[in-house]
Amino acid sequence: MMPWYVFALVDRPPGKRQGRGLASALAVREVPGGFAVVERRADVPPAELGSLTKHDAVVARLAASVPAILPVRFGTLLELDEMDEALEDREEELAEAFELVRGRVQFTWRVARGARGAQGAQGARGAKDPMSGTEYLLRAAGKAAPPVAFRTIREKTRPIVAAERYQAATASLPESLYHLVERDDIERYQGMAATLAAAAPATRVTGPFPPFAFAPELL
Amino acid sequence: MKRRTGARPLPPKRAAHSTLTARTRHTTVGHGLLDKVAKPPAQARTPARPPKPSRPPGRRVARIVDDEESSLLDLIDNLLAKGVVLNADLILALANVDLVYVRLSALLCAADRVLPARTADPFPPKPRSGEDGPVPPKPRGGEGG
Repeated sequence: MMPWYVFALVDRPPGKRQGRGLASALAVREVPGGFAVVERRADVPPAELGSLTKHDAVVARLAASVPAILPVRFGTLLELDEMDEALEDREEELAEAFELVRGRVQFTWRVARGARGAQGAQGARGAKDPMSGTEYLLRAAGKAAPPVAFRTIREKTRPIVAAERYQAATASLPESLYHLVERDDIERYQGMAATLAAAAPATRVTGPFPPFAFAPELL
Repeated sequence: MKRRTGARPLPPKRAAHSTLTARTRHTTVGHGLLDKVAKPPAQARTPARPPKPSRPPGRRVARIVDDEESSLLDLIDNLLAKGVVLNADLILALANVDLVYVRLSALLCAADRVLPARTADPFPPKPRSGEDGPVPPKPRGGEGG
């Protein structure tokens, strides 16, 4: 029998007809602390645009039909007993994670590369000094301070943001600020975000998304 | 020498399902994009006349990529930021005799994406009287997936 490809953990079953996954029908399996939305699949889908788009569409569709959803890492392929084993004794953690994202959506702010200006130049100067590898890495880690634009955004959106997370830039992704917002406040947030984005052209906001950035590592 | 004409059927002059159609159906590009690119221009009303595209193809592709740039970044960020799962089956054999079977399931990911943050809050709270800030999320965490 083929293993299960896992899309997300949800707090309630999303209804009788879940639709299709990547290639076949979705199914719901009860796991400790919630339900897993899964699909029978022999292998991990390739990390290419078609699979990513389909996976994203499935998670977005599920998010619209359940109160709380925790998206699972792309490519998670498990047997049912492996899911149970991973989630047993973590029901409290799962409940807290559901509580955080229940009825909420994610917005993502990013700063365009090269918009850091003086901060980036300062980092380049420091990197030329002779130092050990450990010292270099510690310095690099210490420079991961959010840009000023994010501070302004954070101040202005504070009243309607339920939770936030900052992610420093990586080799492939720019620095990001994730906001968790109540579904009822989506339009209000979008209006506020449009004003803020216009005032800070280097920033860009996208969303609403399922709470990808606020889902803990569970499976 | 007599030629056998009936032994093997000739290939059909026109395939029922063209290769192009099949590839299009299984392409990794989203259907919305394909529809935009493959949609004939509105001016093409007479079939005998080749349709004139309203703008150069290169320009049109560039516009589509511009529109989708943000979505693609979000797609990668949302789905691949937590790493890629690598599954492999490895069989070590000697003289055509399978000796060792290794089933490999590995997660390739930047450490800071799956491990709990060790650094301080990047937004140090400013003291404000009578105002509550956003609830900080739980540390992302545990020992990986």
